[in-house]
Amino acid sequence: MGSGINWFVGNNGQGKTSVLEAAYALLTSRSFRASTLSEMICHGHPRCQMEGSLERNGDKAWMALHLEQGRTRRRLSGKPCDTLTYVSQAKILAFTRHSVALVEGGPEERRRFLDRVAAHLENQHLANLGRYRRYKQQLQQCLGNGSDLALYQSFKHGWAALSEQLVTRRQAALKSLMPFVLDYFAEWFPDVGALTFQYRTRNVSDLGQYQKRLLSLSARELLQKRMLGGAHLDELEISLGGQDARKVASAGQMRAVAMALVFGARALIHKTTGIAPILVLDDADAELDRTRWSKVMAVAEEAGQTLVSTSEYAIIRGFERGTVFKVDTGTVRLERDGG
Amino acid sequence: MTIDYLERATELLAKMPGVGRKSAQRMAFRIIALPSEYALELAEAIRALKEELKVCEQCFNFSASTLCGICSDAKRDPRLICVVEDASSIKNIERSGRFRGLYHVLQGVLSPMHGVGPDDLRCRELLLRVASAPIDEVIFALNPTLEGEATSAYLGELLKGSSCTLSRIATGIPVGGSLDYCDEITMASAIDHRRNF
Ligand SMILES: [Zn+2]
Repeated sequence: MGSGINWFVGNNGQGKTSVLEAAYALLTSRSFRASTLSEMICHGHPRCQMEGSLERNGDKAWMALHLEQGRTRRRLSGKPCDTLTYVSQAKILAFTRHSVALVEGGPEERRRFLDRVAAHLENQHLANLGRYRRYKQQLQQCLGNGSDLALYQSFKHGWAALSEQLVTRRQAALKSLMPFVLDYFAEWFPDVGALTFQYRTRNVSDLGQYQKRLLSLSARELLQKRMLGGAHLDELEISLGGQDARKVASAGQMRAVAMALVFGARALIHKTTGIAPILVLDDADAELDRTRWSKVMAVAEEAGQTLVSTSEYAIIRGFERGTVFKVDTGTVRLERDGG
Repeated sequence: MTIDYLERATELLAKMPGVGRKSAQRMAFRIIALPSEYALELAEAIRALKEELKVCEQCFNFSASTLCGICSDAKRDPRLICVVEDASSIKNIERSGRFRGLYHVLQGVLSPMHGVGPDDLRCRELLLRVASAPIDEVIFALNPTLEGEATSAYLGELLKGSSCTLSRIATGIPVGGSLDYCDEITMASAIDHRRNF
């Protein structure tokens, strides 16, 4: 593919989204539309595989993802590779028709987004999330078993310290992310209203007493058999014109906010790490007028490698540079080499 | 009939950690190929492991008699107890040559999701040891996994009322790692730089 914009042009149902999904899955080991990787396997086929070369500053890594029902194999330059190392190779972000879930969906969607940004800024964040999940499993098992307070607290000490670390990193990520998001939003959607973000910790108001407060909830948690605080219960609130965006925003406005978030994340990661994440834009031109779309694509082009799907050649006109691929009945053909 | 014997051995061998069905079968074939003295010696060694090898009744280290070599060594300091997850950690700490006290083998760590609670470990025995003899210091040397840390926290809390000092070995050891892969120098420094609870 070209190092700038790569257009994937084709009529609907020809496989444009599948091509972008494959590129995204190859680098992240997850799909941007299905909840599990095995859903990517063509119906009636036993397996599917994706391979590609990731290049950065002259370094090359050959990545390969092999899927079989219930089994995923990852290889890096020919050698089997653990998930954490594999997904740490590339930086990639996607804006698709599913991205509206960032605004419209449950709090876990926004937590996951914020965690991905934080993980790009600080590799340790991913490992901490894994450790946090394991702590949570142990604690929830304690609650299910009706364990005593002493046993429960012994797991809670380490867990609370880790939760504070996750929250601190998320808040730092949000603080650096906001200026970029607000800039894009004001430029592209000046008529929508004031956009604000607020990270809310569940059941903790004084962050200076974070761990102490979480530990003090234990007795009540054992009684109610559920956890009442921690990073997995926090919420990133998005407001539009001072009101909860989930309740007041139209579908178009939600897409606009999600788009600003994804582009903002790309700009932030580029600025702090010096590496521009690859950007996947699937069906992003829907509901955008031509003027806005040109503005958006100008930003995308400037920042680095971008993969865009569109059903109209008209969209491409006006972009002199860029590589064009024609997608037709599942086949991809190079139409214009943009270097 | 021969197939049944092979099947039985394969099934039993496949229960070992890290041994799948294929390797188990290869082991069984290898045993058939080797002289019968080998097979008999292996069978006897396995029997002896279960029937002859006992655990020390004070520290729960493996032992041939009621008290293990370390517990019965008069040159060791009985006022220091080092709490470990399993007997393999003892070998490691001994190799560092930095610890002259006695051990206490918990025989595992707390892990509710694997059904392991305090009653499944030698927790009560540790509390009894500390209560029934003058102990100056209890050092926790569990693996730096989150279960290891929770177990140290749990026992630390229970021992808080006693007069002995509580400490844990410094973590020069990577988080999530195991003391099994820790070299003597790292271990010696981890013991030297132990911190109070
Ligand atoms: Zn002993």
